[in-house]
Amino acid sequence: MKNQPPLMMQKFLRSFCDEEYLEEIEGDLYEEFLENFHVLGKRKAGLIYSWTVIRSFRPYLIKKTNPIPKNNIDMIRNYLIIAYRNFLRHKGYATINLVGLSFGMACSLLISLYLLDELRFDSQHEKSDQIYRVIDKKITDNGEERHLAEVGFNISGETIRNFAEVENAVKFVNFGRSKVMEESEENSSYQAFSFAEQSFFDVFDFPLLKGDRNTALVEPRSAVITEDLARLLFGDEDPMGKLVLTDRGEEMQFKITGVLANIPKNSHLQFQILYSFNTLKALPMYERFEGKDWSSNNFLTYLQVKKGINIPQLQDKLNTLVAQNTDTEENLKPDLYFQPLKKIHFYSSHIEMGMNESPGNIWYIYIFSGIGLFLILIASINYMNMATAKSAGRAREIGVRKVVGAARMGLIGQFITESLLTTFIALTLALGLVQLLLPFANSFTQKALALNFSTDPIILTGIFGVAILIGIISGLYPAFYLSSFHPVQVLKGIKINAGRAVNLRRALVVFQFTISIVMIVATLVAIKQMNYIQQKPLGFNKEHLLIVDINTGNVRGGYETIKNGYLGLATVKNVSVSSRIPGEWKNLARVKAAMANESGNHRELYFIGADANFLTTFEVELLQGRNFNEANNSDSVSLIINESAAKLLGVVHPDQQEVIISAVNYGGSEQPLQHGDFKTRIIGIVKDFHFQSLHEEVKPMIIAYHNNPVHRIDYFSAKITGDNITQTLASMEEILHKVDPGHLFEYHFLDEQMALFYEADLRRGKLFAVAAFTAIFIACLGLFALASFSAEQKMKEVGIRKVMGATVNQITLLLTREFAILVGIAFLIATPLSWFLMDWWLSSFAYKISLNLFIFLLGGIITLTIAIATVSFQSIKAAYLNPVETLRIE
Amino acid sequence: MKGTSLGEFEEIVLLTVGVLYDEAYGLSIKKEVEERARRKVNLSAIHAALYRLEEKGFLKSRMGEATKARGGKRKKYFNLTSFGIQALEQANSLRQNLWSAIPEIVLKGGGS
Repeated sequence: MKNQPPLMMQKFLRSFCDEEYLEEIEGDLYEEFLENFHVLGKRKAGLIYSWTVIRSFRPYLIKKTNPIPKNNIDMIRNYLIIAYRNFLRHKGYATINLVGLSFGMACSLLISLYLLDELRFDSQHEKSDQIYRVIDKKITDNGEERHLAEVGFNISGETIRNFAEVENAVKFVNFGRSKVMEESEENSSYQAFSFAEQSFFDVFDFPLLKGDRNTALVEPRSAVITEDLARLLFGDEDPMGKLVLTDRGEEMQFKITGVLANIPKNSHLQFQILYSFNTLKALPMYERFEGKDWSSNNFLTYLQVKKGINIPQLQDKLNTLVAQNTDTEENLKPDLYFQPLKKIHFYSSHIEMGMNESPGNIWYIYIFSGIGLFLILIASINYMNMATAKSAGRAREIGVRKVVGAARMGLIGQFITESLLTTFIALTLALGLVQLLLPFANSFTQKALALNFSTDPIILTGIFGVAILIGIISGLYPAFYLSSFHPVQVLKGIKINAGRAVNLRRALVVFQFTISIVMIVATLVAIKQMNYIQQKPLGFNKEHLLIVDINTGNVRGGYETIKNGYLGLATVKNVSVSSRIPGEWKNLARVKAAMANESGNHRELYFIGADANFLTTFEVELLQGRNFNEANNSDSVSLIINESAAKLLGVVHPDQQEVIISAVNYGGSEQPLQHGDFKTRIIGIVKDFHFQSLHEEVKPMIIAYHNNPVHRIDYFSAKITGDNITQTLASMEEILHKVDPGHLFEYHFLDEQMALFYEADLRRGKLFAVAAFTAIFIACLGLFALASFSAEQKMKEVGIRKVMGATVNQITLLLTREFAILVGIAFLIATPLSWFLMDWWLSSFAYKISLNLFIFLLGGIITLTIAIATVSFQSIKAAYLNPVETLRIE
Repeated sequence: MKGTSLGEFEEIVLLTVGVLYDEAYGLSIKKEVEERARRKVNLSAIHAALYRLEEKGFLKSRMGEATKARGGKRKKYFNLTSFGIQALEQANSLRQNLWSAIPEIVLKGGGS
């Protein structure tokens, strides 16, 4: 219609004008507009209309209910006052809410800190997303797939030269450990003997505190050192330009050209000192690699590529390049691939070599995030349940509020304000709790976690975001439920039909206890499995075994003197020398061996070199044949094999069968033996013993004589009585130093060392136990409150029942039964769930307990007992009340 | 008595409501005022005055019929209350008193 006043102004008028006046004003205005329209024309009439509307914007006419800011503040203040009064009136419930929430939040917060730290592994470099580690995938003779983190010499240099996508590359080479000392040789330490190229500083961002990033690793015989090691070696003196010596000969002396900040704990690369790669140019073997080596497995290589390039395509190009430059058979095509830096921490369990100190497991990240979430959820459910349960007490307040004109949104706002208030008080408590617990958490997780808001805005915003979320989630249902009350009903005192809320409350309790039971069962299974591992007969005796490292040729050469010296000590029962120790399975050598009568049928076996005392010292059982004999010279070509090896090689009786060992693999690539094939004869078979972790099955293994061309001796193992250990250690050190005064006396106890290998499992188990305890604690807090509420509500019923002759037992049962049923249902749901979860966890062990119903029943019974104890405390209290007291009040 | 006092504009509106008797609603009042006082008045000013007077108890209102010319909206008719008439009388008598108290000479155009 053309004779309409400006629509916008009409809308504006309607938006502010009070209903009471609107009709009249609109009518008058329209009438005037029509008159003006005919006399003055549309434009003028419209202008007058608009002006009048604007002039009508007077306080007098503006909607009275319009929420103006001042009013809002008053309301919020009122909400807070009411919340505070409610808090005081129900101190018990409020405290339970707060304790539950703050415990849940504190635990979740700690877990989040841990997770954040894990997830940020290796992301401290600016170009973290562009850095890749080159991995070599190989298939062994046994058909196994192996992934090696070390590749050929040329890979790093040639990728830069040939592919524009690669911007930087660095290679490391690692030669085991060496002793590092300052010139006076007073201070020393054993550190990885690792060399890195100057481009290390281009690829990685590890901050260099002193020295020049552009040249620090250029010069041969220069080295960069971390603050920690610098302090250890030089104290407070400036390490720059100082000389460090190593036990790798006169040539291997290095000038300190840089001091690195300590390597952050969440970096997979961990080292204390790095030597310049160019040092190696002086070695004769360098020529064998430089420019020629495409396929060995010696050089840890990282590439930094351009942003957004196609990685699979680059991999293909690299493999083609490598294939062109090597003349391998068709079935040995190179298969190199790139592993993203940030994935190294979580996805490297199948990768050998490299410098992964403590590989993580992404599954545990998921599990622990789940636990953190559940803890908060359980605590929030407590809040929800208590708010709806106590709703009857607040019905009248809601009724009155509604009668005097509170809108539903206002009431919802009120209850959400209350839950937000509770959440934020709980958050404050939780933050305090976290600060208190952090030192324990750090020593437990061996991390440097901190609540540092200034440096870590993510944590701060995260915490507040989550707190608001918790407040809203836990307040939402009560808010909608409570605000739905009908004012007439509640004010007349008619009981609200709470069926819906009660059912939801029950469902939530079942949910809480399902989670609690799952966690308890998980803890029980973990404890049982850990016990099983610790008590499982390993096939050798790990107790009272003292292991002393051999690090120099002097000690190795004089081993007999030392061994006899040790044997001479009263507290030492037996001493053995060997290349490796059962239970210390890192870098076990593997050999390529074949029976002489079926030559060409090569097999891979683990290899240990040992003396005649080995079997007696470790108490390994000899099944057939005989042990080595020190007096018998021919025994240097004798072999003892384990049962698995006997099965693999098809040996039934040890009868001097000839075995030919042709190649060895020390953890890198396979290489032929230096002095040709090693021809040996089998003289004995020992029972299988667990020389590796129980995550692994017992593999075929060869024990050769300690004097063999494959692997030299590296350890003394002394069986001690356990008396006077300090004295024993001192004497042993003295004996060692008589042979080589410069040798550090490095020792450990085997059982402790082995415990280290299950430490991660054990730590996770404990963490799980703590989480399970917290979960059930919070859930029971909620149950306690609900039970006391239910007892309160049924006071009259109980009174009447007692008058009619019910016993205390009957009443207790009546009050307890409801909750016991809920926990029962939770148990039924939790059993299959936890069975599934624990079955998955156990599958990572080669030797594991079998899951039986007993564990689940035990978990259920524990939970049920705690729950019933919680509930019956309230029930019994209610049952003992004098009916006169409860029935009198009306 | 505070609250019974009338402002000049209010008095005009109140008198106009009396003049229009049964036909006093926002727009008619506005037109009457404009005609008699020969000045432009904004409708919103009339409305504001009407509500203020109603609040003070000088006016009462009733809803009238809806017409097409008003876009289907009803009119709100205003009538003087006895209190309103009393207020007008008071104002009038005050004025009369003052008139009669003015010395003749002043009105005759004397003075200084």
